[in-house]
Amino acid sequence: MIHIIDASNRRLYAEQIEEHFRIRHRIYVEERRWMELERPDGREVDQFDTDDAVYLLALKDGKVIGGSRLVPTLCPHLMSEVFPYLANIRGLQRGPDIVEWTRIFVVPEYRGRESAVLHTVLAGMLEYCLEQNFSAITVVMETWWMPRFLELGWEVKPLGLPTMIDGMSCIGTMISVTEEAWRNTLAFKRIAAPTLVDRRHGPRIIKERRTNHV
Amino acid sequence: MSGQHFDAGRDALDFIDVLTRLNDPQTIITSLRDKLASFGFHAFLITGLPETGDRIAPLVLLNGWPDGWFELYVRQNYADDDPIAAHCKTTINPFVWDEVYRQEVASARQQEIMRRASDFKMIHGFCVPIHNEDGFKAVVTMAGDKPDLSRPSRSAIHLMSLYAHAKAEAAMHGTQGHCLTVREREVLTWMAVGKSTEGVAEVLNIRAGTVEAHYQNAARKLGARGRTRTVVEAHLRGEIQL
Repeated sequence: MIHIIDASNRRLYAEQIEEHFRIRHRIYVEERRWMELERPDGREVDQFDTDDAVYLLALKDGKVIGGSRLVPTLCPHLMSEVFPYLANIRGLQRGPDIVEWTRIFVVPEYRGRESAVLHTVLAGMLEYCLEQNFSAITVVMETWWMPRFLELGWEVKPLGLPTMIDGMSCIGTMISVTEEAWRNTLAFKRIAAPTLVDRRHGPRIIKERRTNHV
Repeated sequence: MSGQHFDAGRDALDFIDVLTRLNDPQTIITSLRDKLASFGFHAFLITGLPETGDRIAPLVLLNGWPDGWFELYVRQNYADDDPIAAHCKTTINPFVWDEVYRQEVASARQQEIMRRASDFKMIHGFCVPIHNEDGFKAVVTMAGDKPDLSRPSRSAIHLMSLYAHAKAEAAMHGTQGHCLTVREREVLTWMAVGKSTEGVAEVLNIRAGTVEAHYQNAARKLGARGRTRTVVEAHLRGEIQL
């Protein structure tokens, strides 16, 4: 299950949030060698890990096995502060109903086609965005990942052309939050809905919505 | 007609918008052909790649290769030794043919393949490998005699190719979508709501033996055994709606 953690319930998950910072350091610095993120305390924490950030963590027996982060686009975020040129054709997409997705990860033991953890995190993210009435998710990603999202039938709009960053082709995109995208993602790995555990407030209702961006 | 692309980026994004709205494989081929021609590529193919000894033909999603070349390629089993195809499986990055093919170190067979390709004016080429969770999946490959391989053009073609592949795959699955006939789907739909063979025969005004034959055919096509499994499988594949 995917747990939604923000400033309001973070105390309930203090241990898991710390574990997730250490996992991020292992994955992004030690495994993928994004050396500018390296920190002496072995916790990968950047300028966007603020009270505005929302974490979606996949937990198994209380242990973090995967996760992702969402940051409101009205706040400073990765695309606006670090990679604005990745949106140099369609422009930065900001709004109260647009969030930026960063730092998706699955711990090595739960990767591969036999595992549904990655797709559970993806479905959880869409489910959360549907509930919040968000219309779109922007993301900076490595270009070679795009076919995986297109394969899921997601509507993925490029905001600029692929650009080489440190020897890796990257791209800025915007993904429409739709019930269809959510359902396709669940069906892809036969994941049961709902995927979320939300210990923040009362009952939640998914509404039918439309998107109107770009 | 290679040359300057005043705003390759905007043009590529506009093309992707148009492409996204297309569904018919023939229309997709035509619009992709025109677009790539504007960069000086007259030939293209979107395909999976076979293991050595297997056939490439069943893996082809969209075929925009020149008349005669594909036939030659298949007849000669070039896929087994094609140096460009081999490189596709080793990288996630798009590449220019000239970056990976060195005539001086190529085998006689590889040289033959590249020489025969050049007979079809397929001299300089560009490949965009497509990967998913399982690794290498397909390639969008294109060639011409004097294509525009500038950085901005490559970047634009890279992006357009990712969408063209996704579209080609969706379109091909779309056309293959219904493997059952209308009658077979009708029979399964009535079985799904609980009708017996006799009940279905009555509703459709056909003989019970015919109903049974339709059901058997559907079960065979779906690789399922028993009524329940056949109905469930048909539903999962979108053959019938419940």
